[in-house]
Amino acid sequence: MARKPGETIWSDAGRWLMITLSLVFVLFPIVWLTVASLKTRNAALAVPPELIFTPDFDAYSRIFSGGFLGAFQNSLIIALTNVFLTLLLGVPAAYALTRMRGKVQENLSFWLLSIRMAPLFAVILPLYVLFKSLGLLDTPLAVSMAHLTLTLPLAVWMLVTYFRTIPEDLDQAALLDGANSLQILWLVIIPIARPMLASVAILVFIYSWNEFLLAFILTSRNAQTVPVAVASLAGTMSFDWPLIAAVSVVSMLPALVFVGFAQRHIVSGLGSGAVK
Amino acid sequence: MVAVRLQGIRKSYGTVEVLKGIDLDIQDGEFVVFVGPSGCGKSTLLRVIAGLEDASGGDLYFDDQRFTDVPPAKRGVAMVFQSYALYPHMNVADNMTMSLRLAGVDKAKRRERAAEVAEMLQLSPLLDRKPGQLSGGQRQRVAIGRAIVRNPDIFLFDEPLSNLDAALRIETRVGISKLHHTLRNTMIYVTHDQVEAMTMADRIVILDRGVIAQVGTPMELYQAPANIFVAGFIGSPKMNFLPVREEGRGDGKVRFSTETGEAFELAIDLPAGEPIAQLGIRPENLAIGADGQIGGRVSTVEQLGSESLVYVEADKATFVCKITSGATPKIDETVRLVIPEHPLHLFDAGGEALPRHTHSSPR
Ligand SMILES: Nc1ncnc2c1ncn2[C@@H]1O[C@H](COP(=O)(O)OP(=O)(O)OP(=O)(O)O)[C@@H](O)[C@H]1O
Ligand SMILES: [Mg+2]
Repeated sequence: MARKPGETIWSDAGRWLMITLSLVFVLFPIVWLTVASLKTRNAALAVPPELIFTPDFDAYSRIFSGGFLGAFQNSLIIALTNVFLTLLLGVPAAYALTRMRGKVQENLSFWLLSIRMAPLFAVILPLYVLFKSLGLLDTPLAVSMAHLTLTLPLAVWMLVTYFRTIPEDLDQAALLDGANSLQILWLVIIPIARPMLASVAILVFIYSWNEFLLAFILTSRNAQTVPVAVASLAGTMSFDWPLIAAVSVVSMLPALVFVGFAQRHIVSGLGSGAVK
Repeated sequence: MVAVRLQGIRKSYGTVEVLKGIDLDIQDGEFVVFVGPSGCGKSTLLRVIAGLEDASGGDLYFDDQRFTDVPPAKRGVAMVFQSYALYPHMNVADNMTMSLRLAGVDKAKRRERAAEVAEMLQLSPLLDRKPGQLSGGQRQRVAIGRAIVRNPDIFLFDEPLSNLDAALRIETRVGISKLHHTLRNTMIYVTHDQVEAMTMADRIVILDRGVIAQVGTPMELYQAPANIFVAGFIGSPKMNFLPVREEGRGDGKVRFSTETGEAFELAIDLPAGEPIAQLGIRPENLAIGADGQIGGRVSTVEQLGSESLVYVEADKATFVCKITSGATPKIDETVRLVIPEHPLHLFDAGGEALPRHTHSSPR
């Protein structure tokens, strides 16, 4: 790290200390989980914890034998479906909201979000009844749609804020160039908003991937997600701590991959040069 | 290349009427400039012509065909925005040929056309750059190029030079004038800069709070402004105005008195009608001399090289004289201002110009 003029070696040291501390803070649980996943069942719960031990990959093999693959598959389907639906519905909705004139449109995005200021428990029962009567209980689609009730307003709200910063002159230039609304959205707005779309996708994916309560209520066996599966492990008589840790560690991987992939789209400076 | 006719164009935003009935005929191939102070409705009128705003009333004709309800893309107009509005994610070539892409023209043809237009505008080396990598003047030319590519019947410009620095502004101004000479398209140009209007326009349309104050060639507006608003708007420095009371007329002479009690007589021949309430004198026609009609004190002198601007406090107002020869007075000197009989502009109490009997008189 280059030192700015007037800074001493001490301010450098201070900066490194801060970075180290925050890294420790963030990474400690992950390291701890990883370590725990590599221990045997007894060693994992030993007090004081053994610092030196031979890694045991038994827990990881039990992920496969214990039927967790299904949960991973469900979680992935649910999260990806949710990302897809959120963007598919949220982008045109947010675009329309920013480009239509009138009092209603101005406030609608806020009200959309405010729907979810009600506690989750207030919507769970109606959702349960709804999905039950639709025959969708214990399907990934039900969980996806339940997640959509939060992620869609959130996405619309974020996108509205972003779309407002895209000058309307661009829409009108495209209109004069012969584009219709869909073409303006597809050829002009979406490419410009790509960093924001990536951010929204990441947030939505992470939320959907980790969400517990809705997934717990709406699924029983077939559509169980990873968090629900982990929780059900914790409830059993024999508390399989290494297995829980191993599932948790593995469950971080898809999210990491997805975030890494989406993050490549977050390049700054793309929006510059349009006006002025 | 089409003629444009506006008939009673109105536009309201809610209860605010921004355009209050605009009637205007624009000839085929004409360069017309809309000019007026900020907020007078220039952009709105341009956007109504482009179809980006619906008129609340009135009709729009291109070559005698009613175009009021035709969607923007089908009007054959291209617009250069004040903000340029370039697509930031596309390179220069793609920016310029977006319209062709939307019309289904294949990539090779688009590239060819982009190269052709880039050649005209000296943009050839920049075809693969993104707008973010261009200077202001280059962006400006890309925006103009995008309009040219479409080969429109009518070019619309909304203050295209306002983001450029002074030197580039003059250069681009000349460039646009040249473009008009080459293409011979109908062009409508919005600006609030009267110098741009005077130098570029075949005809100028002066807008004032949503109505047309006057239409005419630059010289017509300069020499025969129809009202005080136009008189004050066109010309730099501004025309001087002297409020007067008419004390009597006859024999081709009019006697005046001013608020501060000066009294004088001018040989003015005009038909009977409203009394004269204000005299308008352009700075270059206002002289300083011992036989001047009103007295004043010099407050500022600006030496501009070829000419000097002398500011004189007289009759509770500041008068500007443009002096091109002879000695310039000193600050705080007491002087007298010579009001010429020609060219002298006369206005009634409502600010309308009073017509004089025309007789060719040398300065
Ligand atoms: N969308 C809108 N809603 C309400 N009022 C508007 C809207 N657009 C413009 N106006 C009003 O209409 C009037 C004319 O606006 P317009 O943009 O045509 O002015 P202008 O002559 O182009 O001024 P400038 O030189 O500042 O660009 C202004 O008073 C403006 O406040
Ligand atoms: Mg304007």
